[in-house]
Amino acid sequence: MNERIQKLRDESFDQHPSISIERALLETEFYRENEGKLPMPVLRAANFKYICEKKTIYIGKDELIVGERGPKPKAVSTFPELTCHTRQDFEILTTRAQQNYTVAPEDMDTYEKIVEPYWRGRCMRDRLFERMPEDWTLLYEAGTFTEFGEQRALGHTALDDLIYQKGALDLKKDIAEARAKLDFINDPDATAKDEQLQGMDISCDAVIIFAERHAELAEKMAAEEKDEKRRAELLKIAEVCRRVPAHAPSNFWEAVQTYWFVHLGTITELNGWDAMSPGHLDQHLTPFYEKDIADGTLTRDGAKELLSCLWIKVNNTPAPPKVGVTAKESGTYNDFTNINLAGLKADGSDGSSEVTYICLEIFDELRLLQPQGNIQVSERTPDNVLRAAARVFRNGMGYPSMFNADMVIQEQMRVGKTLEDARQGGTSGCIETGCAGKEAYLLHGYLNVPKLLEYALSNGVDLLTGKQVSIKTGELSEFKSFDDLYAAFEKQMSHAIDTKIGVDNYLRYQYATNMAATYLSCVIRDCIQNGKDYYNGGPRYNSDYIQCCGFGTITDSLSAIKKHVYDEGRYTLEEIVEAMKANWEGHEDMRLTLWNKTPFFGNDDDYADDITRRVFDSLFKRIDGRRSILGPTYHMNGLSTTCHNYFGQKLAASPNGRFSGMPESDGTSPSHGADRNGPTAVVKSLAKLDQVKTGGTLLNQRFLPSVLAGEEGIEGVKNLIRSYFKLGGHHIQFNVVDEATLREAQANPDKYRGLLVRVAGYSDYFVDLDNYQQEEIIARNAQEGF
Amino acid sequence: MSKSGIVFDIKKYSIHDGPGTRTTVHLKGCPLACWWCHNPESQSVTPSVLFRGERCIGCGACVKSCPNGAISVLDGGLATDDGLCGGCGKCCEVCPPEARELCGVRYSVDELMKRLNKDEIFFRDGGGVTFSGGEPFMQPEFLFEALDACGAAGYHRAVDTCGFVSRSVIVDSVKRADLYLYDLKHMDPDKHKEYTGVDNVVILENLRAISEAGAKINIRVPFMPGLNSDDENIRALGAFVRPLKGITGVNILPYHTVAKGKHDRWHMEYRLNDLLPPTENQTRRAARILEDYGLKVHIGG
Repeated sequence: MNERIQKLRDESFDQHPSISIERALLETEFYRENEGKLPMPVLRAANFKYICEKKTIYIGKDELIVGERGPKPKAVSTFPELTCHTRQDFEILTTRAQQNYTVAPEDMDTYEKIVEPYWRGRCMRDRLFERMPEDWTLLYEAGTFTEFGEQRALGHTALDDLIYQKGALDLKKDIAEARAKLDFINDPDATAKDEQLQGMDISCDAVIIFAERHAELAEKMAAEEKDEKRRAELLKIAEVCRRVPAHAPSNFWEAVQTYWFVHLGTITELNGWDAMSPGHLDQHLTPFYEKDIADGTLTRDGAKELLSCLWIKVNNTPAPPKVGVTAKESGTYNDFTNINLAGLKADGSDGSSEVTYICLEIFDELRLLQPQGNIQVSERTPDNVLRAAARVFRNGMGYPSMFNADMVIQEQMRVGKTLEDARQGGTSGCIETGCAGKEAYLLHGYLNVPKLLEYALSNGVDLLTGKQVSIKTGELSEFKSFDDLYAAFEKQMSHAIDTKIGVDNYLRYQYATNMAATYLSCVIRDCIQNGKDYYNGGPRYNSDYIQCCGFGTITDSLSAIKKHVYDEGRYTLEEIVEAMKANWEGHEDMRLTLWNKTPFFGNDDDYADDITRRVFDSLFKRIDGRRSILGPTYHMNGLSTTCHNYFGQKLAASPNGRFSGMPESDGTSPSHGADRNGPTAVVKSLAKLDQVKTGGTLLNQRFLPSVLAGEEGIEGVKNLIRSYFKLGGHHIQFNVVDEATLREAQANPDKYRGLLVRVAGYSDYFVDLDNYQQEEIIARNAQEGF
Repeated sequence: MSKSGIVFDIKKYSIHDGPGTRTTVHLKGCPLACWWCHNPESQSVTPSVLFRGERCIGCGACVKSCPNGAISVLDGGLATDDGLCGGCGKCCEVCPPEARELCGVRYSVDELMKRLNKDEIFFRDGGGVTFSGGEPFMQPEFLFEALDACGAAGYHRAVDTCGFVSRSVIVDSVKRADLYLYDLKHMDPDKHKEYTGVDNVVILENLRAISEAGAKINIRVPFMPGLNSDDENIRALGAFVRPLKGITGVNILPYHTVAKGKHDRWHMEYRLNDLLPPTENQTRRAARILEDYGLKVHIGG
């Protein structure tokens, strides 16, 4: 990394995140004046434009790629229209043990005086919670599921190559054409479409203004700049910002700046999308790279420098913090930008290029919280791409993660995407499959599957509180066979999923009618042609996901009951439930027998793995193809992010011998310490799930560094990945760190500020995690391999 | 019925026991007793019960389970009469905290193949099955039938041996094994006898014999500072190996202290408590000497 990048990188790393109330003030001002006067999509777009016209513009010293969401790096905007922070929330954020945010005391005062009074009762979160049915509230408070959309705008988003082909002015032309075609005589939706298209048109103006304000500032700074070299750079920045994103980019620099302006536009418009990602960045940039290299206007180092600048920009943009209990507990401030590398082109050929390797080098050199990256590994992907990736992830920061591109394509085709579109799709956020640039895929929250077994064993009572929170599905004495018990578990599952989907559909409707994302809709294909918003069925494809958590814990729990109660009669169901209620106190021999003498998930043992399959099928039947406001758009995936920790705290002792409050298994990984036969057995177990029916699964593997040492280590892990993918696996990622290092980091956090570890589908700084999460990561079984 | 044998471990994802990704089958029993043995619990051929007292919760399940009455409560702790223990493993099956562990399980070749077949997909990178020990040739009939079955399944077969076996048996195995991982622990017969319990004459002759018979052989040298690390020993080794046919390379395996943990765990005496792993310089020096003999040297497994 050169001197400029080292400096910018260190500044970004050292910069403490803060809250900026500028956006909230501008928005409140705008809404006070205009709410009720403008149709909703136009109101949202004009609000976005107002912010772009007024917000502070920042160009940092030595920067080449420019633009910040807030007035300076790591100054995070709030989105009171979605969720309005209270003074107490801000106080928690400034003092919490995890990564905290600086909030100026005078800003807290202003917020309390000006922002909160306007939005209280108006913001989405308040409106949603007012309307929640009692069934939902009981299950929600007991930790049965979470609800996305109550803190941030729904949706995972990644882009395709549209923004490199069409500038905002071209999009405006498309919008004008779509408006001209509207049929006000025969189409009952024509007016709604017209309002939506007006909003989109205004949004395009907004980003052009935003870019031009950067050009003006760069010119002004150039005029005052003494250093000749920097003056030239500033003039170049101005030139780039005059051209993009108004026009399609014509060279590598403009292409990188284009992405950044579009990214910033979408995350300024709304606090969006659980994740915003560029999609296949290497593929998108390769034509510009090759052309500029051939012209002699760009060098490899020059391209790497510009891309490094983009990386730093992403790192400058932490996620807007949450409110309420989540603000206290959710330590992460990652905004989940996940860059796809390699994979396939639309025509099915290998998508890797020199830019792929440049990106991998940058990941290894910069080691930032974000962006993070993944490799889309197809059968056609060269081995050298995997080797290069393994040489990066073995350094311990947890990325790039590895995805099976061929499965990602099949997963999409199963739900009706065309082959070409599916190939351009990939992963965003953590592990979520989506059709980049063509789809709204909305995640609705995690489902605590092991909790549903607790309800089946307690006739609907939350064992931690003694409260009846779910339906009654039978006394223990009624479960004469394992199938009887399983049937009760399935009834609990149906109840939880039905209750959740009812509310999710309500949320989705609220977003469709109140929170148009007019700018995002411009860059997601078909919204313009359909005259509809991202939230309202505008994109070519639309999906809704429920993320099912705790596959390892539920399998092991059911397996323990099946074996020790129904197959071998060692214990009665009543005895096990009594011991669970006592959190195993006085029952250590039973607990250890359940924990040590049960076939568990992750060992390539069909006794356990057949149960995983059965649970998977039960969930699939109850989720896949369920109807949202847009049709049969529901699917399942197997992601837990950090929710397996929260769910574990909400789960009583479980029949697999787990203590109350301990974490559940993460993603679709085995329970901590349950996989005792090495990584090949783990991936064999995982592969028994028909993963193509999901929108993604997640497999964490912790390896000791010695296992990945040397060329054998690289070849071995490459073969492990290839083999898992041949078997139909979706994703695997590696934490390569030994326990001693993690313990040392706990003892001396200041020395280990930069230690990134894999948390879920993303990495986080180890020392920023709370103690509970740190212990959870240490507890993950380390594969020694030999 | 297929032959059966005593296996004490099956290790998957072995990437240092031959080419590619392998599953290593550890057969019980060894004629040597090396000071640095990594699997001291595997030296006897018959199944045996290992006990980790620190895990015991005193539940007494083992006492009830033993068909021979070999386990009794004595002074508040457990006492096992090794003379009465038949190695059936019933006490291990019922021990909740896994304080009792059966070392050695009888497998038929069919049962073993069922386990190995689960890993077939991982062998496609040129990997396969490695038979190790103990010393796999301690159970020659079982080993041969298992090697044939692996051959029929198309798996690459490696045999990790100390070489202290019957000449006719090891020569007969050559057509069944694709690779030997052949340990040379010391070139001096007396030193060899001191550290391992047997001298090296048979071992060196066997090495020459399988080389003549057409075997592919990877020489493995456990590299123990002060024991076998001197230049003289390394030169003798190089001189001996250089003229042999079929040598694919020499692996120097730097000593590490894992073995000490194993000995401690099973309450076995460990004679190398103070021995430290070799420095990188020591290892590299040995590698250079061997390279001077025209050998391909690799440091590590």
